[in-house]
Amino acid sequence: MSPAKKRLLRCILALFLIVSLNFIIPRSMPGDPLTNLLGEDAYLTEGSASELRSLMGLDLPLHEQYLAYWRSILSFDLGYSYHLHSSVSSLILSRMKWTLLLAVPSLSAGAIFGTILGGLAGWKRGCGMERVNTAFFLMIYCTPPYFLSLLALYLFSFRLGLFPLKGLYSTGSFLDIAHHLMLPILVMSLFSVSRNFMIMRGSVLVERRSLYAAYARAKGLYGNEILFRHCFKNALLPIITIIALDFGFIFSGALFIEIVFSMNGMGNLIYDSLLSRDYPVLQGSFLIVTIMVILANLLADLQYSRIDPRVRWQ
Amino acid sequence: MYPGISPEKHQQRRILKVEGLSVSFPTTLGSVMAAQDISFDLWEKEILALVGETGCGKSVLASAILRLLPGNAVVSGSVVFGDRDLLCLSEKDISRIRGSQISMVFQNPTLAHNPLIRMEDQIAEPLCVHRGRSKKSSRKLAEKVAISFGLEGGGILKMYPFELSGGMNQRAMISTSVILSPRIIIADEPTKGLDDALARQAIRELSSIKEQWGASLLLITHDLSMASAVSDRMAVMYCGQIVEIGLSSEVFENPLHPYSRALKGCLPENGYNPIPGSSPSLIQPPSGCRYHPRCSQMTALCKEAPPMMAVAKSSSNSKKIGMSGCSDDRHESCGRQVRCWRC
Repeated sequence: MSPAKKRLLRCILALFLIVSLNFIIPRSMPGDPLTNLLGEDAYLTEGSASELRSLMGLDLPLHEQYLAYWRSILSFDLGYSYHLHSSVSSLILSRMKWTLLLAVPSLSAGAIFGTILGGLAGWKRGCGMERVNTAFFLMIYCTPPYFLSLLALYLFSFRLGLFPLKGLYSTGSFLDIAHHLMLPILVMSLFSVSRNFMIMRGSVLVERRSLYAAYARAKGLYGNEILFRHCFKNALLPIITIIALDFGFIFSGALFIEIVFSMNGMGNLIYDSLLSRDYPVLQGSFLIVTIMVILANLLADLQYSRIDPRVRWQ
Repeated sequence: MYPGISPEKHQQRRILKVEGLSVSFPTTLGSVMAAQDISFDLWEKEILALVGETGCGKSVLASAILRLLPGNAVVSGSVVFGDRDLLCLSEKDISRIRGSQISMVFQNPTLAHNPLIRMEDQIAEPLCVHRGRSKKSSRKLAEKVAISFGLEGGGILKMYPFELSGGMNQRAMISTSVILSPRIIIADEPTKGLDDALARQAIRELSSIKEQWGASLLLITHDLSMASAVSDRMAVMYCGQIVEIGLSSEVFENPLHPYSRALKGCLPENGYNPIPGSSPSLIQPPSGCRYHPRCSQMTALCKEAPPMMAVAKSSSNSKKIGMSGCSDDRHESCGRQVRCWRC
């Protein structure tokens, strides 16, 4: 079996186990599952409770419940949120696109600019421009995200009035949405760039001391040529996993930004349902997050073995 | 099978003149004098071996010539190649010489190759970098050269360094070093880490470079007998200095400096006699002659004043193989020089 197929199989197995755990955990919790599903503040009469139980299949034997659970998952039926009065899958779908709109450009910009700037900084360690860059990104890296988000909101939106204060859109046109998203994307990109910058810089600092870099110089490569023909690719290896996990946790990663900029994305959805103990939404969201993380890991593995032949061989 | 010196040698020209080259590294414990006042010439189509024990500064010297030392190294003297002093060139200018005019074979071939790049692209790289050739066309030439060094079959060139043995990586590196037909190849311990059979093969390949590619070879090694077998001339280094230089056959058969003699005595066929004591620190080298604490013929003078390089009388043996053909200018450099008070 090829390594790629092996990895795919492992992912499917992991997914199966996690989805099954998602079934087992709420059922092994103490207390009434109805309370868990509806929340502690819902009061039900005996009759409506048993009606709900049979509606949700809670009166069936466990193995039948398990099969029904799989059936509903495969048809993307993740249950019903009694708090938000909507089906979980439609809730997640409507929230997901906003988070993707925010996070995909930010993380992509972070991956591209972070690695290139970080690589150059590691290569030209000690030169003036590099010092300024490193100091700047280190400062961003060390600032708590919510603080910087609030600062940006205060400065650019409240004081200067360049961007709207909250939300995702007011009229819904493309330009309007872009206007709303601009500041959050900028802030989130800045964080992503600064993190990737620091890691890539350290990675290049290690690679440039290696013998193959010295040999490349002896072959007549000059300056940045050595970085881009040799060290960059090697230094990229540790950062691939990190960038992949960024995309894996894309829905929960933007939580602070979403809260500060009052955006109704996935992060806010998870956060709110956690506060109100909205278990169906939580379960559904975790399932999506799980699938994303496993997929991202798979992609990282494949990308890794594409770049590093030593991995391919194992 | 000693290549020795050929009769037509007097027609050859000097291509590298190293003069008064000193290298030191400042450290917190003091300055490490890795090489001091090194002078020698390299002639066209000649193999010059630099012999000495580990830590005597041979590799530093090799790197200093191509300016590959780390940034904290303090280098003085001159390395004249053609009509230019390599030590005064800008980094950009010297990078044009590296790999095309003077190339280098590193001592750890497996680690010196990039683990993520196919062998053929690494061998072809100097072509892309110096000649601006496309990857595809340079691969073809790389393949030709690699085949001439025995790297063929089984898609070896499509493989990565970790899939090849040390000997194969070594040959790939030698192929890389000759691909642009450089005038000088510096080989730094090319046999290190190779077993005996592979080491001999590597040496055969390196010495074939002289004939096939018309390059001069600066061979850096700790292996005295190997050096004497392949090189035309030999310089013995001790503690950052050249203590004796001359025709390989002469230096090997009849070493004049006590250290060269002791080094010869270390060889298994000469009884495997170790030199007493250990090599001195390069931070505070011994006063006077650096070898005096270990020398069996030490006198009071050796302790106090450092000996100069002295032109030694050529033995009768050298006359036989054409030394008389040397012009005056050359006599100094192909003659025997020894740094010892007693010679």
